[in-house]
Amino acid sequence: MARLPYKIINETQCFLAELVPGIKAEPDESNPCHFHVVIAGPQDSPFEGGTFKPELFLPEDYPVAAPEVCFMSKIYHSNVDKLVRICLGILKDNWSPALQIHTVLLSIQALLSAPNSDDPLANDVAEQWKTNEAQAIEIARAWTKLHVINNI
Amino acid sequence: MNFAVGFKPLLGDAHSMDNLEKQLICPICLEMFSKPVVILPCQHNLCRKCANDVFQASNPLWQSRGSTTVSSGGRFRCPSCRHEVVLDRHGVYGLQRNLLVENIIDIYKQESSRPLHSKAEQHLMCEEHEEEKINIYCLSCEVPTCSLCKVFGAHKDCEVAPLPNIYKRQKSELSDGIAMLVAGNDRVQAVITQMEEVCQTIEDNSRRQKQLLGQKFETLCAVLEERKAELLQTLAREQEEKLQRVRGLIRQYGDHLEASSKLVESAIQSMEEPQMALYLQQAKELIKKVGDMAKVELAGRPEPGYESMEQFSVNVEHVAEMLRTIDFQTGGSGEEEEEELVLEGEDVSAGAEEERQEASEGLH
Repeated sequence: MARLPYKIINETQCFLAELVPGIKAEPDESNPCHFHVVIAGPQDSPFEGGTFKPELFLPEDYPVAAPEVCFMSKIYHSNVDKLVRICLGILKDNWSPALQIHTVLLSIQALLSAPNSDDPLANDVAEQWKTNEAQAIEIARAWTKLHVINNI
Repeated sequence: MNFAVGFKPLLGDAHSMDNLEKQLICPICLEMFSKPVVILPCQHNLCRKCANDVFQASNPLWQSRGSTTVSSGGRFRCPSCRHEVVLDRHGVYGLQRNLLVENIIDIYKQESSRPLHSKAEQHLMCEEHEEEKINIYCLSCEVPTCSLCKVFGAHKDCEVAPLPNIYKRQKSELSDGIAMLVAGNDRVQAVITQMEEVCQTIEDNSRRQKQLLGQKFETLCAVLEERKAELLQTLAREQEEKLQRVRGLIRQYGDHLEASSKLVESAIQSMEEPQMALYLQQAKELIKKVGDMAKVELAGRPEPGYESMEQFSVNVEHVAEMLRTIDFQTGGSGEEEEEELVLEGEDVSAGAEEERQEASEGLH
C-alpha cells in the first residue's frame, strides 16, 4: 500500500487534538482514509441538540479528488436524500484541493442551518419547505428528537 | 566564575519563524513547497508536482504529445481562489517558476537546522583548563567544574558527583518549586476572586441597608406629619370654641348697647320737651327704664388670659434629642426597629434593677 500522504496525516492529527469545536472526526482502526464523523446540530436550527454521524471517505487521489460523504443519520433536510447523499457544491464541481476535511465538515454543518430548497436532493422535503416552512421546521425538529438526540 | 561560552543567538524568535513557515506551505500537500515551485497568474504558488496532480484530475483526456489541433493545453482552477488557469501545450511545465520562493525555502531550511548544530557542538570549557570540558559537579563548593580541577586543581579535597545526576536533581528541585509556586499563585488568584465577590456582596448589602434606612426614616417623617395634623386639628377646634364663646358675648353686649343707646336717645329727646305736662307724662316711665338699664350686669366676660393659646405649644426638644441618638445596632439581626433601641434600654435597666433586688433577697 502506498504511503499515506502527509496531508492526511496532518489533518488526522489536527482532529485528534480537537481543534475544531462542534465537530469530531476519528479515523477507522483498519482504514486511515475512512473517518467516523460527529457533527452537532447547529444552534438556532431545527436540528439543534441532535448529533449527526456522517461517514467520510478519502479517495486515493485526495486532495486532488473530493472526499465522499454519506450522511448516515436520519434527517429531514432539502439537500439530504434517503440514500444518504448530500447535495453540496464543494463535494462536487466546486471542490478545490486546498480545501480540507474540516472545511468540508463545517460546510455540511452550515448547510444544516440553511437548507437550499431551490436545489434539492429530497424533492418532497424541499416542496414542504417551500410551501409551508414553519411546518417543515416542526417536522425537522421532531425527526431530530426522534432519531438523533442523545445517540452519542 | 567565568565560563567561556561560544554560540550565536538565533536569528528571529520561534514565533516569527513559525509564521514564516506557514507562508511556505503548499495548500495541496500541506508540506513546505517542494522544488520546483510554480506561480499561477492569480499569484498563488504550488509545488509543480501538486499542480500537475490537480491539472491531471481536471483534464483527464488531455495528452501532452500530439494533438496539435488543440492550441491550448487545458485548464484548471487555482485551489486557493478558483481563478481559471489556462495552460499552453506544455501544461504545468509552461507555468512560471517562482525562484524567489524557492530561494527563501532554501535559506529557511538552513536557518532551521543551524542552531541544532551549534547547540550540539557547544560545550562549556573550564577556565583553568581550556581543553577540558566542564563535566563534573563539586558538591562542597557547589559549582560545576572539570575533572582536572578535581584531580590537580582547586577542588582536590572536595567531594564531587557526576554532572547529569546533579543536573537531574536540581531540575527536579526547580520543577517542584515551580509547581509549588504555581499552586500558590492559583490559591492567591482564588482568594482574589473570592475577595472581588466579597466586594460585590458588600456593595449589594450596603445598597439594601441604605434602602431600608431610607424607608425607616420616611416612616418617621410620616408619623411626624400625622401628629402635626392631629395637633393642628385640636388647636383649630380650641380656637373655634373660644371664638364662638367670645363672639356670643360680643353679640350679647352689642344687643345691650343698642338697647341702651336707643334709650339714651329717647331720654335726651324727652329732655327737650318744653311742655312740663307732656314731659311728666313720659318722664316716669323713662326714669324707671333708665334706672333698670343701668342696673343690668353683664356677665360672662372671659377671664384674663382666656385669649392665650400658650398651652398649645409643644416642646419637641426631647424628641429631637432622642431622634439624634438613632444609631445602628452593633450585632443584631438588622431588621429590628431602631426606635425600640431606646425603649429596650429602659426595659433592660428596669429588669436589671429587679434582678439585683431578687439577688440580694436571695442572699438573705
